[in-house]
Amino acid sequence: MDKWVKIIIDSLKEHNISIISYVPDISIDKVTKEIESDPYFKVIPASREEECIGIASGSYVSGVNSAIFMQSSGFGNCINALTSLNLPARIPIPIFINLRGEIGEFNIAQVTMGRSTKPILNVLNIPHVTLNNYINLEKKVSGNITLCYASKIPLAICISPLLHGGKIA
Amino acid sequence: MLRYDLMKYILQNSENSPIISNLGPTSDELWHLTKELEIHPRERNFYTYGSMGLCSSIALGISINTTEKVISIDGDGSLLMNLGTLSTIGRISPENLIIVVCDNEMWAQTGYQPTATAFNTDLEKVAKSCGFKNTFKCTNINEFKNTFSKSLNLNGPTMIVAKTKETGEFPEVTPVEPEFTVYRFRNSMMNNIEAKL
Repeated sequence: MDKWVKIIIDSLKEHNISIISYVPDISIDKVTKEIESDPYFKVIPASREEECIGIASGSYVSGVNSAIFMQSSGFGNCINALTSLNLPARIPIPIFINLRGEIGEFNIAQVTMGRSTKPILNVLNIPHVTLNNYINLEKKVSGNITLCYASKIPLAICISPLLHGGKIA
Repeated sequence: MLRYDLMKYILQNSENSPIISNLGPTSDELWHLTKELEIHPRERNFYTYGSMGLCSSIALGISINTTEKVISIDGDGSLLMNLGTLSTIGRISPENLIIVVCDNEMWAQTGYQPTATAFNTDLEKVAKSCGFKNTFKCTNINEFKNTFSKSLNLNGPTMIVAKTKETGEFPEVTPVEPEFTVYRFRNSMMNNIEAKL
């Protein structure tokens, strides 16, 4: 298991996050594969990222912490759910987003949403952090999940190809 | 059949089960019903105010953490926006999930525009082909009452498509802050697993 993958999985467990919903991504697959083979987690693959927001919110309101994995294109599918459910109702969800449109991107269709993800998070006032190296990586993941639950709003943990090596085309 | 009467029967017969209601008149009427039936505040009511389409996805997220029956009161317009969630529910197959769709075949609150269920989409058949264990369609209130009572004793997931009519009137908007709904609902669910806030 890659070290960054282990750090994310350990942070999820540290925060009692046992329900994971995702729409797959080839880079984040390194994490979701491990999660699916770990009996600590219950995994719900969804049809669309917006649905993940509903599932994770339902899990949180029933008392079980839940995180989501997706790629940046899918973040575009979540915006109304975040603004009309999680922000007004104050439902915290750590959202792991693989950032497309970064160095090495080969698909023009991924560029605009990928590069707009962080500006949109800023407009929504949703805190975010980008993981692009191993400096303070554990603190960045675990500390931001702590912040997410303390502030009771969603928080995005963006993952750059500088960390995971990018998409295998 | 009126949505109000159908929801009244649900409230009178589902004890303390979590109920998640679709945005707009469904949530508003549900809140008014808790007043009428003198069960206000029903802590296990989860009113939604936006996030159109996610009512049954939220119910799925709740159902996987409890053995209690979880009841989603969805609408045709909302569910059509997120039909993929029926596929996900069919895949995960939570035995305790009951979805009641108030299918008035229109987007009523925005001006009674017809939805696809007024034409060729049959939500009961969609649910069946997604792998729901039980699917029903009801066209009058007595049929609904019998079907809902029976569903409480079935292993789901269960889909009940209830063909409803509009009265032309909408109640006052639910005066409950979404943040308060979440706080109250979550606290009630967590007390059940002995993890009080």
